[in-house]
Amino acid sequence: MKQKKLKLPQWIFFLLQWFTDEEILASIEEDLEVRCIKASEKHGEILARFLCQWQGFSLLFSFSLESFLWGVTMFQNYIKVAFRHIKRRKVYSFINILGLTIGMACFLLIGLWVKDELSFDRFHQKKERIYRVLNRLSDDSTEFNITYALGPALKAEYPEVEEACRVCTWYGSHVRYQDNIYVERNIYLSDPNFFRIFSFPFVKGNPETALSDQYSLVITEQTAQKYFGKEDPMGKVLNLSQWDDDFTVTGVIENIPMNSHLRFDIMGRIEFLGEDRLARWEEWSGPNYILLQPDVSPEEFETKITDIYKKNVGPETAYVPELQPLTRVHFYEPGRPGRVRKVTMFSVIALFILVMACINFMNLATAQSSKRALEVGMRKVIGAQRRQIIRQFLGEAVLIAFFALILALIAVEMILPYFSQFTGKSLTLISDMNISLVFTLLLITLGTGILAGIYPALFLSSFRPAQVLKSQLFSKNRGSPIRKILIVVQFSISVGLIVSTFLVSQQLRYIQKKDLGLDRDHIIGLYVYPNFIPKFETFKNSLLNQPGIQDVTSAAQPPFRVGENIQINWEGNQTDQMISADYTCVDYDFFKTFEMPILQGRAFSKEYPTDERTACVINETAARRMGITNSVNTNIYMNHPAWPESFRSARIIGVVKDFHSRSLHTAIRPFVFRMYKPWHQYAFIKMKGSQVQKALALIKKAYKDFSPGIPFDYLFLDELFNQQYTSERQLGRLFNAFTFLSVAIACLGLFGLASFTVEQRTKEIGIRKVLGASNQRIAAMTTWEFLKWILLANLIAWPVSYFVMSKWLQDFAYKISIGPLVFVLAAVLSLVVALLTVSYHSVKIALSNPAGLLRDE
Amino acid sequence: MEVLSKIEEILLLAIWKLKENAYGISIREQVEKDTGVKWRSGAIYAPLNRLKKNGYVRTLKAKSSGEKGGRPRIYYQLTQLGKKKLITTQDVNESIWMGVPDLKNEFES
Repeated sequence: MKQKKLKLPQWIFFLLQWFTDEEILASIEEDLEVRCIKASEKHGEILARFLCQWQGFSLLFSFSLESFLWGVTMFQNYIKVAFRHIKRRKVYSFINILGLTIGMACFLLIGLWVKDELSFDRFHQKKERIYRVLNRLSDDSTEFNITYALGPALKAEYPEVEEACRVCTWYGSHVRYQDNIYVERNIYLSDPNFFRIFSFPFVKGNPETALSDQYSLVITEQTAQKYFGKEDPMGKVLNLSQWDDDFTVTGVIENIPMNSHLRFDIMGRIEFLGEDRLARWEEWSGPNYILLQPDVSPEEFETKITDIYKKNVGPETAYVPELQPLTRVHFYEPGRPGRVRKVTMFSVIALFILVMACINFMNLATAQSSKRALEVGMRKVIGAQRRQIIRQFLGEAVLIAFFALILALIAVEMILPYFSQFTGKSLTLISDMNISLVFTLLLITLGTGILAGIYPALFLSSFRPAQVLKSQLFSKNRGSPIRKILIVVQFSISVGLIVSTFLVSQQLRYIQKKDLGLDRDHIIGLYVYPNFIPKFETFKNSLLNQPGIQDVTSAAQPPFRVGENIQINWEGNQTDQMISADYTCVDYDFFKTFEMPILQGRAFSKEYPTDERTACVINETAARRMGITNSVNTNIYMNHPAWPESFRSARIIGVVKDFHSRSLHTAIRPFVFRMYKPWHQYAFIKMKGSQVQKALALIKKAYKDFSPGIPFDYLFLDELFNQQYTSERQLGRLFNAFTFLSVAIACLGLFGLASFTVEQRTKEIGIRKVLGASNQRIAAMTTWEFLKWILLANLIAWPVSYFVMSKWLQDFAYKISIGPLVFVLAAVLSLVVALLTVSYHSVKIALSNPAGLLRDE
Repeated sequence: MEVLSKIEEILLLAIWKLKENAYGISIREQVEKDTGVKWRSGAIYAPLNRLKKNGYVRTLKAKSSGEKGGRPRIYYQLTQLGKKKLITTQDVNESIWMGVPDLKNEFES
């Protein structure tokens, strides 16, 4: 035979492997060879090669057409059968689809929320290279308000730093354009390179040069609209009351997206804080951001700068700088993991709810197995292989998941506006549809379908056709242990969530009700600008003459919004350590207005003119930490770098009862009150509870008289206080909602399963009744069947939820103790709900006529 | 019960006729001889694959008779099920053709 130079198209054999087995392939190969050799003898090699390829295509075409047609036929059949089952078992299908819909809707909502949380600050182009510098203190906590001297020093000394900028959140100012005056609370101050580091898109102006002039401002589109309407904002002049100076708008940026932790309406130059303050290493003023050069490792750079405070502040300095990636800033809360934990918590809950819906599906699908057993048997007899049947049932599950997805999308779209408002985010789903989202949704659907369908598919496909077809009575207990385990899992999750919900709401109530050591009802805070302070005393007196006004005072901050930190030393200090304390500046009548009792000594008083210069009031904790039994008249020294040396010493004139100056996450710290009027920013006015509306009108009128043309901008202190716990309240409400849904899903499943079990035991119950069992006994028997598993679920859920919730409570310095009551309550609740769910069926069957039960064939 | 498709019938019959000597090439040649036309490979092997999957045909591996130089050749055989199918098909065919008025004579005349 002639040497075969003819090459067979190998790729065809490779592809044909998908459709057929080796043996047929061997036949094809042999045949093709012979054909090709013959062809080359007859027509020459070139044509033969062409013919050979052609045969290959023909083979591939025939095989793929064949398999496609076969697949389509089977797929049509699967879909037809699936629809038939959905229609025939309406209740089960309803429960399945409803459960999966709820599960997926929750999953989608929480998914959107989590995605938004994780997207914070990721829109900056240089995000990978931007870091915020934190101070890590000796007690391992971190602080992001650090010295403004650090940024420039890093930039000057280290070539690794491309840019450094400092950001100051200015409290507020009146801003005037021609005759319009508004109160602006979101004024930031920063360095000119701010817009080189962060990518806030400019609508007008140049990000490189926008802030190069000291008296320039960059504002958002929204702010521009507010002041200038349709006019071109560029070059317009705004007057800021804080510095009583004119500023020129040199840039307009797009409104800041919700997922930015830097949120400002107006951006000016940080130099207005004063050179001293910017250069002081000891004062902790605000955040510093640095942009590292590409390819600089942050870890290595961190080790390089460890000594920077020792060099500049003093060799005994105990804190070190630390780099925090920009994308982590949003999750940072001083001293506690906070949001990250919230994100994981909700992700877990979302997963739980979806899993519970899947469990429903599994339970109901396997419970119905006897209905499908015949079908499986028939398919197998006709020649279906096990994997085909698995594919069929998986396909059915995915189909139902797909229905659920469509319903869930509709539901989410309807809920989303409320959910967005509630979480303070702008979330969208369908309007932002893109390929990756579609892909994710399909993946979720497929995942859910497979998760829900895999166990039923494996279970149902394991039937032996001979057994199933021979005896119509299918052994009913098969698969039930797993079903019971699934119920236990479901109810464990539910009970765990119930316990957590109880504890979260208890803790929230505790916070709301806790005596803070100061009064916050019917008090308004009024923002006062520097020019107003000299007029304040007259303003106060004119108000006090009015009916409905109880007390008037002023201070630098509301008493529960104080974060300024100083070191204090005192006469007779036995140790060589100073203690760190919070401080604030207040006016006369401060303690009276907030009803803070003075335990020793006295409050600031006009009778002692020296009070304004040399007096201070401390809280109980400070007195205790100093270790002096009677601290009144002790001299203390406050290490505040911004104060002149002569002002740093003061005499204690009174001790005020402990109060919560920070949120209940942290323990009460030592506190010092002083009088220093130039720093006052708020007037606080206590009104009589019964006359709030009238008093407000009076205050407004008085304010207008004293500062004509300036808007009357005030806030209620109880609202301000509650804002501290927004995150907790959200957590509480979401917990309530998701717990409710999870219990609902679990009950749906239980309902379906109960109806099925009762149906299966119809004959047994009929016989029991004939033999004389009472209605109650029958009902009790069928009910107990389920209740014992729910009791078991309780036993599992208790320790787990105890463990998880005590972790959560650790975030609070002041917290409830976890008592046994919540667990008992959760148990009772779960049992009652389960009882109600099951009893519908058990009572129905117990009351029915045994003759009817036994005659069902 | 489903009836065999024409190509399935032709293939099964070809294998049956070839007895011990039914392998890829011989089957194709037999089919071509019976039908008098050339067949594409795909038109033969895809249905053959189906017949095997359905269990009408089984394969045997055997040394080929020389010319291929010891390379194993795959032989095909009918299974019991295949034979039963073929019998049913024959019955069906016979009943279809039964009582057909003399077609050829009428056509030619």
